[in-house]
Amino acid sequence: MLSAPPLHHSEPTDPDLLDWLTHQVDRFLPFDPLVWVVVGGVLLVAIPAGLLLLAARNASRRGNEEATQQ
Amino acid sequence: MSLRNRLTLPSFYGWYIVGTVFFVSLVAIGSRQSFGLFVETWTEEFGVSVAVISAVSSAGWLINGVAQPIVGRLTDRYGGRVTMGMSLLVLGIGTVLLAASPNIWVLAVIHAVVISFAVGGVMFTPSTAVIARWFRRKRGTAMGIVASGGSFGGILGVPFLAYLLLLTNWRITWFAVAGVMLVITLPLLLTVVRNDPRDMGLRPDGVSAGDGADPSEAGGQRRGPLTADRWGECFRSAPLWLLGMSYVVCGVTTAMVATHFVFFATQEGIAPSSAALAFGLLSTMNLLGVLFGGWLSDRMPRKDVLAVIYWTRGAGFVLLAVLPADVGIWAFALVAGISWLATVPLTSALAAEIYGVRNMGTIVGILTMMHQFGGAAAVFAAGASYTLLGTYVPVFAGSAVLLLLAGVSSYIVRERRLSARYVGAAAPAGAEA
Repeated sequence: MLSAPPLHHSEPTDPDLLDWLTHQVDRFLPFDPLVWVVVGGVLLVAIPAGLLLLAARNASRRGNEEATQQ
Repeated sequence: MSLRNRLTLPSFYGWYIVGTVFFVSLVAIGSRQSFGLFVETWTEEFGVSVAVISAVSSAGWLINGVAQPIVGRLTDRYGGRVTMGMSLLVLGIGTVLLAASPNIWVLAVIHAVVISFAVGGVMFTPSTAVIARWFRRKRGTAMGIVASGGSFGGILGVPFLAYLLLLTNWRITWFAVAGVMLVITLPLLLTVVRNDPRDMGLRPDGVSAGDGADPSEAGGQRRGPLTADRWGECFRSAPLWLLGMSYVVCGVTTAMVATHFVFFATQEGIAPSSAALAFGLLSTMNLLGVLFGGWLSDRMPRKDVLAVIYWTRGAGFVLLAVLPADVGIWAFALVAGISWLATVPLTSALAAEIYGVRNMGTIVGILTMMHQFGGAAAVFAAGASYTLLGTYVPVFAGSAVLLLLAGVSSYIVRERRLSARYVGAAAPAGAEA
C-alpha cells in the first residue's frame, strides 16, 4: 500500500517517487531546504489570507449594493 | 477583452467557497499522502517492519471507506460547514497526538482510526455536497477545481513536508501540519464556507431571481423525476447502481495499479527512476484531466464524459498489457493519467443532478465507500493472481474489460430523462439548464 502512486483518493505517496522527485528538484533548483520550507510556509499563509481578504471584500461589496438598492 | 477585465475578481461568493475547499483538500489530502515520507523513520525509531506500517496504512484506507457514508449523512443533516469543521478539528487534534505518539501502537490507532476517519470528513464527500448547492450550471468546473486540491496537495504539500522533515524531525513536522490545520485552515473554513447560497441571500451560480432562475425547487435547485426526499429511495432506481458499479471499477483499477505498479515495473527490469518519472507524468496528466473533465461536463452530458474517461483508462490498461513494459508504463501514465481523478467530480455531479442535493452527502458517501472497498478487494485479487500465474498481463487485460463495462454502465444512465439539469419546468434544451 505504501508503494502507491498518489492523487486518487488520498493514498500515501510512493517513497521511491518522493526520493526521486527530491533529487530532481535539488538538481535543477539547488536551494537550501530552508528556502523551500520558507517559500512553502509563506504560501500556506498567503493563500488563506488572500482568500479571507477577497471573500470579505466580496461580502462587503454585496452589502453595499444591497444598501444602495434599498 | 482588456487585461483589466480579465483580471476582475469573481463576483459570485461561491467561487471563494471553491477556493477555500480547494485549500482544505490541499492541506488534508497532502498531509495524508505524505504518510510514505515517514516509513523509514518510523521503522528505525520504533523497530518495526515496513509490513507493520503498511498494515496501518491499509487499515486506515478501509476505515476511511467506512467513514464516507457516515460523514455524508452528517453533511446532509448538519451541513458541510459543521461536518468539515468538526472533522478538521478532530484531524488537527489527531495529528497533534500522532506527533506525540510514544510507540507504534498508539501511532497505528491514531492514524488508522482517528485520522483516517476524520480525513473522510474533509474529503470529497462533504465538499462536493457543499459545492453542489452553490453551483448548478458550472457544477462540473467547480467540483473539478475542488478535487484538484488533492492533486496539488500531493504535488506541493508532500515535497514541502519532505524538506521540513529533512530540516527537523518527524514529530516537529507533524506538529507543523497540525498547526496549519488548526490555526490556519480551520478558521478559514469556518469564516468563508456557508452550506447553502440561501444562507447569504444568494442563488446557485449567483443568478438573480429574474435571470433564468427556476422556482421548481427552493434555493434555485431543480427537482428531477428521481429527486429523493429520503436517501433510501435512491436504491430503488437504476442510476445509483449504474454509477456505483462504475465507481467500484474505478476503485478496483486505481487501487490495483497503486499497489502493484512498482512491483510490476521492477519485475520487468525497469529502473525505479523511470517508474518514478512515469508516476510524475501520471500525476500531471491527472491534474489536467480532473480540471478539463469537470469543465467539459458543464458543456455536454456528464455521463458521456464519464464514459469516455473510463474507456480512456481502459485504453491505458490495454497499452500496458500489449506494449513492452518500458514503453507501456509511459503510455499508461499518459493515457490513464488523464482519467485518474476525473471520475470524482463527474460521479458526484451526476448524483446531485439525478437525486437532488438534499441527500447528496449520503449518496456520494455510499458510492465512495463502494469505491474504497472495491479497491481493497482488487489489491488482494491482483496479488493472488500474480502469485498463481506469475504475470500481471491477465490482470491488466481484465481491468481493461472492467473499464469497458464501467464506461457502458455510465453511458446508459438516462441523464437527459432523469437529471434535473435537463428536465424541469424551466429547463431549456441542452446543457445550460
